[in-house]
Amino acid sequence: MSEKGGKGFSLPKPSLKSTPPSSKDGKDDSSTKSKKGRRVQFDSEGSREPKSNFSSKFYRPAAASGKADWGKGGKGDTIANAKKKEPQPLELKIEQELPKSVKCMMDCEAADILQGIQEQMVMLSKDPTIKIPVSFDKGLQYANSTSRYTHPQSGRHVLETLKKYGVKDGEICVIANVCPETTDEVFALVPSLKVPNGTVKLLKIDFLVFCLPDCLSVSVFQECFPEAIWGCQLCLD
Amino acid sequence: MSIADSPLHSSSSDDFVGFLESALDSGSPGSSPDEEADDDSDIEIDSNSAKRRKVEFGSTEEIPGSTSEVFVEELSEASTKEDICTHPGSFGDMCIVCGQPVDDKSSVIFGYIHKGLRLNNDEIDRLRKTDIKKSLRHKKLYLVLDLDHTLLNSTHLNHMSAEEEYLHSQIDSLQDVSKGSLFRVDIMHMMTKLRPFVRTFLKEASEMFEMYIYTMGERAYALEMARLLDPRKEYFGDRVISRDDGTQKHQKGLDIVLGQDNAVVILDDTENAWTKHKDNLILMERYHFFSSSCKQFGFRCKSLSELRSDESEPEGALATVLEVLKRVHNMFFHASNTLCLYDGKKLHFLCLEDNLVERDVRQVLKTVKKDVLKGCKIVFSHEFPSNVDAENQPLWKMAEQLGASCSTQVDPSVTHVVSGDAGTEKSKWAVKEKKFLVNKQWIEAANYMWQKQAEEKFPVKQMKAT
Amino acid sequence: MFFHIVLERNMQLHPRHFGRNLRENLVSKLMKDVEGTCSGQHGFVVAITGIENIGKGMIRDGTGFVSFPMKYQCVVFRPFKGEILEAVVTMVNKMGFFAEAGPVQIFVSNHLIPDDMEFQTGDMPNYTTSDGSVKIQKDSEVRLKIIGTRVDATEIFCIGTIKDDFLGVINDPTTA
Repeated sequence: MSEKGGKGFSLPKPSLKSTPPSSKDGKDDSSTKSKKGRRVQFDSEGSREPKSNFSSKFYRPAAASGKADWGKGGKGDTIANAKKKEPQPLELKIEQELPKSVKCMMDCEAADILQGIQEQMVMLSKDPTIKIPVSFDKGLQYANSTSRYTHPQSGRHVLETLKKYGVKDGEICVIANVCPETTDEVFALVPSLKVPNGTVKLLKIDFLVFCLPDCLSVSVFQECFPEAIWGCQLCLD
Repeated sequence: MSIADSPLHSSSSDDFVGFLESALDSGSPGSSPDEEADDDSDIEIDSNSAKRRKVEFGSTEEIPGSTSEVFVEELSEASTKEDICTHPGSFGDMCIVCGQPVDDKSSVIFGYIHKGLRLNNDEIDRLRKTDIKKSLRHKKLYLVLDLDHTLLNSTHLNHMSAEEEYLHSQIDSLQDVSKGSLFRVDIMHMMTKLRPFVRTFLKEASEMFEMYIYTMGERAYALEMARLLDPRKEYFGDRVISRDDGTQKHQKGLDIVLGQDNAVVILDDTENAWTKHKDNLILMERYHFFSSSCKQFGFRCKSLSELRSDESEPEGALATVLEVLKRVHNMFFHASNTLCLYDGKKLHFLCLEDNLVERDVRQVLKTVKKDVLKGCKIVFSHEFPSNVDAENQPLWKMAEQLGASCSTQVDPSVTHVVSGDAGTEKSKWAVKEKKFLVNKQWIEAANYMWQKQAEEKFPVKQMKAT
Repeated sequence: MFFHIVLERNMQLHPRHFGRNLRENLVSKLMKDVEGTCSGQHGFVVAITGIENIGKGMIRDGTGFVSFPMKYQCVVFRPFKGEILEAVVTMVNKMGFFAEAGPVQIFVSNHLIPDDMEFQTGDMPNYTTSDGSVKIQKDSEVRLKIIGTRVDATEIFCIGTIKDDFLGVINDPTTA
C-alpha cells in the first residue's frame, strides 16, 4: 500500500493553516471560481479568457498534511524530521547572477516580442538559409503557454508599483508568471518575499494577490495600499 | 534533507520467510554486480561537461547572500547528521535530490533512460526493492530480451545473396508495422525479419513480465527494432538498452536493469554475454533467416530465406520458450498461495508479499529444467575421452541439469544410452535390453526446447570402423 | 525566465559579402551564429530583437576577413534556482519524470514527488495519488520549483521539485 511511505517524515505546513479552502485539498475549485478563478485582466474591457486552465491540483497546499500520516511506519520520529524537512527557503537570486544591464521579462512580454519576431520571420523567410531554430519555437511556445495577461503592459504597470516596496524585478516576474491566488501561495512560491523585512512586505503582498487574479478589487486595494492605487487607476483607464 | 531511507522490510515475519525459503529452496539473491560499473566508459561521455560545470558554478555560486545567516540558523536548529544529502544520483552532474553540483564518476549511467542521468548503487537497490514489491503484487517478473537471433534476424542490404533478391518485393509497409514481419529499414541499410510467433510472444509475455530490450547493437538500431516490435510502445517503453548503454564492453549486465536479480529472466542466444547472470538465462536457439547470418556463424547450408522457408510458427523457438516462461511464472507465484493457507486471513496478504520478495526465479528456472529429463538414467558410450572425468563434461552436466541421472556403468535401471556409434558394447546392450539408444543431440535438443524429445528422431548410426 | 539583454560579438565577414547588403549580411550571419546557442551566464539565446550598433570593421591580418564588433539586443531564456516554472512532462518512469519548459530539460526525481503519489507502470506510466485524484503522466502540465541548474553549449539541465506547497499538476491531459 505505501510504497513511498515510511520515509520517515511528515509534511509540515505550519504557515498554511489559514489558507482559504480553495487550496485545502487541491480539488476544490468552487472558491476559486467564485473569485473568477484565474481570470487576469488589468484592463476593464479585456475579454480574452485566460489561457491557462488551472484546476489547482497542487500538492497538498495546506491542511492535507494531517493525511500524510497514513502508512508511514518504520522510521518514526516525525517531529524531529518534520523540522528537518522544512528546507531553508531556496531564494531567487536572479539579480546577483546576471549583469546589471539585464532586464527580466514576464512570460507574456516575451510572448509578445517573440510573436512579433515570428511574424517577421515568416515574411522574411524567402532567405532559405535563415532557419528558425528549435529553441525559438520552444521558447515561443513556452512563453505563450504561460502568459495569462491580456495586456502585458498594464500588468507590468501594476507590478512595477511593488518595486517601491523592495520587491525585486525577478520576483515580480515570477509572481506574474505563476499568477498566485493567495498570500500563502505567494510566500510559498517566492519565499524571498518573507525576509528580511517580512512584516512590511507581507502587508503589501496581500494587495498584490487581491489585485492580480481578480481584476482589482479596487476598494480593498485602496484601503490597504493607498500609494499604489495610482498604478491601478492608470491601467483601469 | 536526505530522504533516501528505504521504506522496505518494515513489516516482515521472519518465521514465515524462513519457512517459505526452505519450502522453495530459494537461495539468497546474489550480490549485486553493480560495483563493477566500468569507469572508463563513463569518462568519455562526461569529462567535457564536468569541466564546464565547474567553470559555471564557480562564477555563479559565490553569492554573498544576506540570507546566509538565516540559513545557518536553520541548520543548527535541525538535527545535524541526517541533513547531509547522500546524493543518490545525478542529472547533468547535479544531485537529483538537493540540486547541488556533484562529481560522482562511480555511479551507473542510465543513458538509455535520459542523457545525463546517473544513479548510485544504493539508489538502484532502493528503486529495485520498491519496484519488485509492486511488480509481484501485479504478478509480474522482469524479462530481458535480446534482439538479434532471438526475436529477429537482420542483414545489411549489401550482404544479401542473389537468391535473396526476391525478398525486396515482399517487404511489408513501414506505415503499419504491427502486421508485417519483413522490413527494409533504409536509414540503417538493413533488412529485418521478425521471428515467427514474435507478436504473440510479446503480447503474452507482457502479461507476465515487465520487459526490456537489451542488444549489443547500437542505439539507433535498437530503437528502430523496438519500433518494429512494439509500434504502440506498450511493451518496452523507455526500457531499450543498447551497446552504448552497457557498463562493460562485450558484456551485458543486469546492473542497468531496474529489476532485482532474483526476479529477472533473460532470453538470449549468446551465453557468453551474460557471464555474471547465467542462472537467469534461458539460452535461445539462434534464428538465422538471412544467408549473411548463416555465414557469420559458419553454416555452409542454404539459409531459410534462400530456401524460401521459415521457422515454424506454432512449434518454433519462441512458442516453445513462451511455454517455459508460463511454467516458470506459474511456479514462482503459485506455490505461495498454498503456503498462505496456513495463516489467518489478515496475515495472508502480508506473508504473500514477503514470501515472494524472498523468492528466486533462478531457482525456479532450475526446478523447471530439472523436470525435462526427470526419471531418465543415462549412460554415455564413448562420448568422452577415457582420460577425463566424465562428470565434469558439459554434456554430462547438461543432462543432470535437465534432471537426468548419469552413470558410467550399465545396469537395469538405465533408461537411455547416448552414443555416437551403434557398434559399441553399451549400444549393443541397449538394443538387446530394449533401452533407448540415442545420439547426444537428444540431450542438446531437450536443453533448447525444455522438453524431452522423441527418441526416434535421434537414431544412432553404425560406424564403419567398428 | 526570459530576459532582455544586450550582448556584443565580433562578426567576421568575407569581403565578397560587402556592398549594399553589408548590414543585412552581417545581421543574418549573427542570427545564424547566435540564435539557439547557450551560455552559462545568459542561458539560451532565443531570438535577436535588435541591433544597437555595428562598429568599424577591422581587416584581419592575412585572411582578408573583416571583423565587425556588433552590439545586439536579444531575448534569452534561463532558469534560476528558486524559480517557479510551468513545464510539460515528457517522460515518466520509476526514477521520476522529465519535463520541458521551453528549451530546458528538467528532471524531477521520485524523491521530490509527494510521498502519496505512487508510480504506476503500463503503456502510460504515471504517478498517481492513492485516491486517484491527481495524476502525472506524459503531457501533463506541472508547476515545479527549480533547485539546480546547469548549462552546457547546447542544453540546459535542471533539477526540479514538486514536493512543496502549491506545486504539482496544473493540467491533466486526460481530463482536459
